[in-house]
Amino acid sequence: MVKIVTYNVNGLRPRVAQHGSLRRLLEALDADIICFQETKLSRQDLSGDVIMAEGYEAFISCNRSTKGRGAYSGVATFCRVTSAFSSQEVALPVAAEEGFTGLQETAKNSETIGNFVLVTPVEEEDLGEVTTEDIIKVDNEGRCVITDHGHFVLFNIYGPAVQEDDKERLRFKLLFYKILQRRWEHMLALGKRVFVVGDLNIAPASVDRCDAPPGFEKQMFREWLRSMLRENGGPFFDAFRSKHPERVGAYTCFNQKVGAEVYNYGSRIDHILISGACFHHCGSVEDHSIFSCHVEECEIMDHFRRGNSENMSMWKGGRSSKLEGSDHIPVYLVLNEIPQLPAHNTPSTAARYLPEIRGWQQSIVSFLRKGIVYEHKDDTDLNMSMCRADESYCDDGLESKVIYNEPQTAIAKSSEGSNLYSVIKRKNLDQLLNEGSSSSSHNITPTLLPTQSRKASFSSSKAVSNKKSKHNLSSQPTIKSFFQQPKSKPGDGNSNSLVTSQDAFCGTDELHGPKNDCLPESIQCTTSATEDQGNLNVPCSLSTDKYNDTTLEWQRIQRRMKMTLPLCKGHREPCIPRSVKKGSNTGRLFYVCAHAQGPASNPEANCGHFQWATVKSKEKRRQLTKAT
Amino acid sequence: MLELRLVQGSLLKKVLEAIRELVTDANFDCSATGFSLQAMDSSHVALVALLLRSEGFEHYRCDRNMSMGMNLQNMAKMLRCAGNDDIITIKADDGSDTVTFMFESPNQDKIADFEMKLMDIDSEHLGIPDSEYQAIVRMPSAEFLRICKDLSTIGDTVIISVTKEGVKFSTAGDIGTANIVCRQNKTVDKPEDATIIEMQEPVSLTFALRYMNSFTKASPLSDQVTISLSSELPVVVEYKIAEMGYIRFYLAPKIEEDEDMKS
Repeated sequence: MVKIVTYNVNGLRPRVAQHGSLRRLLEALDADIICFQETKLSRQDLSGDVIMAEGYEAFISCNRSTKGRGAYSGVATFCRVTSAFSSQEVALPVAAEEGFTGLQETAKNSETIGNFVLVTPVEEEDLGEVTTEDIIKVDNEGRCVITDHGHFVLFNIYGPAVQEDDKERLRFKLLFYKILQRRWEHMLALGKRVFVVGDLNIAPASVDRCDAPPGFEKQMFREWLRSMLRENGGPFFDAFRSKHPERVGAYTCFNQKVGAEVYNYGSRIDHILISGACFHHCGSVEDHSIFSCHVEECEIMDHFRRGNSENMSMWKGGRSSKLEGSDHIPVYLVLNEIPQLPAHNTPSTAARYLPEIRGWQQSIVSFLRKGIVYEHKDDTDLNMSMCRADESYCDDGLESKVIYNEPQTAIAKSSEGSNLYSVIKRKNLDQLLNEGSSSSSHNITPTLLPTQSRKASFSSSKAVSNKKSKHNLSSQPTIKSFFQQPKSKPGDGNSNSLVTSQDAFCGTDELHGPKNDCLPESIQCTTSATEDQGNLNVPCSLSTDKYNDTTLEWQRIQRRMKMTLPLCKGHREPCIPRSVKKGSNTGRLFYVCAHAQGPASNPEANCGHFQWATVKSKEKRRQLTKAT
Repeated sequence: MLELRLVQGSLLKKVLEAIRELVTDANFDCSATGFSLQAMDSSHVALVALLLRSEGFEHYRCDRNMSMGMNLQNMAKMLRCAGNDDIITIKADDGSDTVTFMFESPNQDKIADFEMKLMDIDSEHLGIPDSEYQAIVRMPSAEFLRICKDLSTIGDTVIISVTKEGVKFSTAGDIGTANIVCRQNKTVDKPEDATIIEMQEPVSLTFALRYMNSFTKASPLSDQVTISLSSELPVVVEYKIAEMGYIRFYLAPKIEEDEDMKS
């Protein structure tokens, strides 16, 4: 049995925090292959806690495009394995690839899965000629990870979400899917089974969207997705829909801004599409396919729905309640009778081998162990003199000598006595000429070091080594030793010392007080303060009548304040304020219905009320009045 | 004709920074007695009242009562262009669509004029009754700011309880609870560090920290904040503006989570 889960996590870090650890999150999903979308991780701040979990291998893709938002989108595929090496498990891929065009920098050095080569520029109907740059841009947002599991190739996809009126992004989305389609077709032509899972941001049909407006299915992307499905001559089964053709109200994504969970006002945009032949050995193709023979179940994991455990009517315009969890719900697929693979290892593209995870930082230990004195036989007098110079300088201790010589060996090693070294030499020559031969050995020695920091490290390392030698004699002193000194001063017991310190404190204050001209001011202030207190105290005799009056008065004011809030037309209830976040009206206030959005048939759902807060520029109003 | 010259221009800057988060648009009312503002936040839960008395201005001319509707975000943008030592003059002609802010550098070598469009804002003036309070806490404004900020990292609401011993701020959240007690402390060297509690009866009220936090934006205006509490009355958080007036924030206590929303 192989279980595959797709889940748009809406930020992997918050989900990890929600479940306590990555491992627990993965265990909660309980699957062999877990595909996350919208991880919102960036390469720079990757860390083990969100990528590495015991028993799982990760394959990730992060947004690389620098334009606009930084850490957004991003996909990750987690594979549950008992062993990362010479394993026969299907969950452990035999190959993995970031992106789908094969044009990314990372893909250039290695073979792509199925040796896919995209010939650029691409000619695509509706899009015209597409340049390589455009295609790389599409592939740079961390929206795809492909893992080849031997028996099938798994695409973990995060499809772009696009506003209907954003021409540039519409083209982006179209290009994304058209190139993807080419890749799929290429794989299928090779006889591979292709699984596509993820948040495609496309609801294929009206039934997959609450309150779908007329013409919903006519939209370009929905038409395209349906054309990919078996019913319409395409290669794929939409696993969920094929298993549950009659199911309505099955949604995987809920807009968090409108409290869409409350009335199940969602859409089904997280899919598992599968295609290819079954594992049975028979000639007939008619009734056999990976779907009809091996898919045991495909279901939406509804218990992951946000706010599931709480009282859902707590939405309140999203103001006081922050529902925990992603705005998506995971979907899973169970396959049975999948044979094992020959033994294979974790591919090199796994997250465990990323330098961000493995670490850039080399251990200092490897450097410190090599205490070899630096020697250069093929060098000129100049270098000899310098060697002598630093030798003379290192006389004060063997330890410092070792440390000091270290950088040189490192340099010599890294440059292997070639280019870099000659550069250093030239630099030294220049500096030497500048400083003149009269410069002391102290001046010469640092010039041997290639950078400023090395200079600094020289002096500091020397200091450190001196300290070290001292400390080597005695053991590490405890912090206590610093506190024992004051004990010689008056004040023997603990309590006594406390008192004295306090006394001292007061004493200094007295000294400082007059100096800072604080005293007269303080007198002034205190008198004014007492005056104020007096003012407040006099009426504070609390005549209950008056008190009741003010209470009533305040109740009236509060009612007035509430009443001046606009009421929505559907429920005659106070609206909630919102402000415009972008565009020319930024910052402008408006009021909307406070209810959560839901199907139109539900009278309790948001009535769609909208009104601007009544503010106009005086100028405009005058123009208006003039016009009328 | 309106002309208000304020030598301590930074004061006006601070006032705007104090209220611009809470209130988007508001009417400034000018009369012979002073420059004032009363406004609600956009959800009509909190109320802010500002008074700058005419005596506090170096020059104060207001021929007839005037109400100027301003977008506070925009006003703050303009005032941010004034230096901290600048003298600010507010000018407007009767019936004008605009208001002018003039910034003069202290040594008079730079003069800047900023003209801002006025808005038409429907608002009604609410007569706020003078109340007596069961408890009045006076404490360092920086301390109050710190407490609100700290507590809001843990919970959404703060319970302010005043007893003879002191004032307690407490909250509870998903991760745990927090209690901060400030004792009465009059014996400090600097009066601004004092914590003074005037109490007729013990009070305990719950407030939304979201609002408390935006009130504390007024902290730069005054070293001390006065918190006046009575059961069944809105809390008053007051920052005195030296020699000029005050800025007062009113916030109704929370009752029960659900009732609060339904009522």
